[in-house]
Amino acid sequence: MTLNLEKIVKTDRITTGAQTISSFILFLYFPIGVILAAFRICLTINFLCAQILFNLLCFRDNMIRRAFERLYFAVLGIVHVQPNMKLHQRHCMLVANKLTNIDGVFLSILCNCSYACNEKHTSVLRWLLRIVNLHENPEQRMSLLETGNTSLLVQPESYPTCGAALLKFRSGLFDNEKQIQPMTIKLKRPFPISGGTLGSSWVQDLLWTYFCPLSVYEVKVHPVICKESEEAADLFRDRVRKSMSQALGIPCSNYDASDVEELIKRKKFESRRPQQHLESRQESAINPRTKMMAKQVKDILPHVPLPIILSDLVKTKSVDVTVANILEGVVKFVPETSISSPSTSQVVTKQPSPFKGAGFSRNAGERHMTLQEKKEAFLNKARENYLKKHGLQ
Amino acid sequence: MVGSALKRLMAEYKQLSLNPPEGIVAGPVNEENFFEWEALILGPEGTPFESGVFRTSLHFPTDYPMSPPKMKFISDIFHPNIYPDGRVCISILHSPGDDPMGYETSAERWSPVQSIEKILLSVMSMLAEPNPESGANVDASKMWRDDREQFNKRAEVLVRQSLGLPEQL
Repeated sequence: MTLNLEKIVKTDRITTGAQTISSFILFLYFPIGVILAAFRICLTINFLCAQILFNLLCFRDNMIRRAFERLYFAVLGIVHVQPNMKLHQRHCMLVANKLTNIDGVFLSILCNCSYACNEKHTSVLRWLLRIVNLHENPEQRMSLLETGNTSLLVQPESYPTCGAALLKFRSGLFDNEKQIQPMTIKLKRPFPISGGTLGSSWVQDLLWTYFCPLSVYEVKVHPVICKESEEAADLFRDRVRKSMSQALGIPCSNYDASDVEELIKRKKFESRRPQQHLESRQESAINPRTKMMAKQVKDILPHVPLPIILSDLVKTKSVDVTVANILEGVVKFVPETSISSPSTSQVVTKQPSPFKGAGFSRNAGERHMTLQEKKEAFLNKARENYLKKHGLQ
Repeated sequence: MVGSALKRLMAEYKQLSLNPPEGIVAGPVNEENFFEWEALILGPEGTPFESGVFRTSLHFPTDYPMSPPKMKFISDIFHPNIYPDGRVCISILHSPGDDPMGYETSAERWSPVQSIEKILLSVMSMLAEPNPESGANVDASKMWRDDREQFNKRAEVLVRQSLGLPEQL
């Protein structure tokens, strides 16, 4: 797949592309959306209380409850259209794709089944919304299916996508099932607000859903897929995924949940960077004249790192003083390795230099004398070598 | 500008005195004028110029290290890349702007990052490996290519001359 992961998992909640008109309308809508969301939050509390009542009265599968729930959802802005919503088989594993962190709950209430998810919810919420935590009690999941009381919904993608492609399914979710019931969902919203974004929590997704005037879910139930007797678990997983991607008309991607986790980490790391930008901005606050002077010093002494030159120049405000400071060792620094010219292939001669370690006098006359002596010694040494080589001594 | 050139030359002189590269002695001709240098280069081992000590002069411009120095052999020398008058034809001594031969990449050219030490080492390796493509001395190029024996003989004479030894021993 050539599809980039960042195109499958949205990083921005609001996608404002070329449609400036729709973003303008969104801007106008914003206060209405906030009021609407506030109203819907109150209504949700109301809804949860009603759920408690229903649960206590043991109306598990009741016509009144169904109608009531749908009405509530409609007011909360979650509408579903389904060409064929009838489950083909009761008490089996339901597999659906994931678009937001809350559509699992919505679907499970809609299908009157339990929902298995990764996230940790409080026990009250779990009891109310019939959520099974996958990490905590895998036995519960098994027992739910074995007793045959209810169906269990899983979303094996683990992370919400924008619906451009299917992520790889997590292993171990329906490996032991004989048959599964695939479902596909599509989400449509009047504004370019994506359902779930990279690393978003279910609270965020819920609030944005409430903010939207409408979230239209197109729910489709597909024929039951049976696992063949000899089929390996991963092949079965792939087969289910392929059939779902065909039904949705989107490709299967090569990314899985761990890739999304990596992307979340990377984005977090990148978001920390602006601090470094701040530091470089401080550096650019050094006035251009100092920079010019620093460049002059750097030209004279290319092996001295620029930050050290700059810091000394800020103090001295003079090229000459800074150069003198560096040469006299007042300023300490670690020399930069200069880029050596490729043409200077160094000729290595074996004999050690006899002139090493001869000091560098501060006195001009002394210095010159040493240089003359060195030249003389150099010439004599070479002459000696020559004669020795030719056996003439 | 003169001040910074002087400071840089001083720094390089100090560096070359304390840490002299193999086979090279270099310094100002006299302490009054730091822009005129003299350098002795030892002919690299295993080459026709082996053991010879060649005297060269370096003339630095006042905007050094922005512009490269001019280098000239004072000792007589017969080499494909050295003009008969002693001027050295080597890429490190050319600013990136001028390219008399039209074959050098700017990476090999002069820049403030280069140094006197690098120039002298380049000249040393040039003595070891002449580049007949950039023939500054056509006769030497020809001889080096076609009659190596004759070339070696001629170099031998020059080596003795540079050491102050008589031509025949």
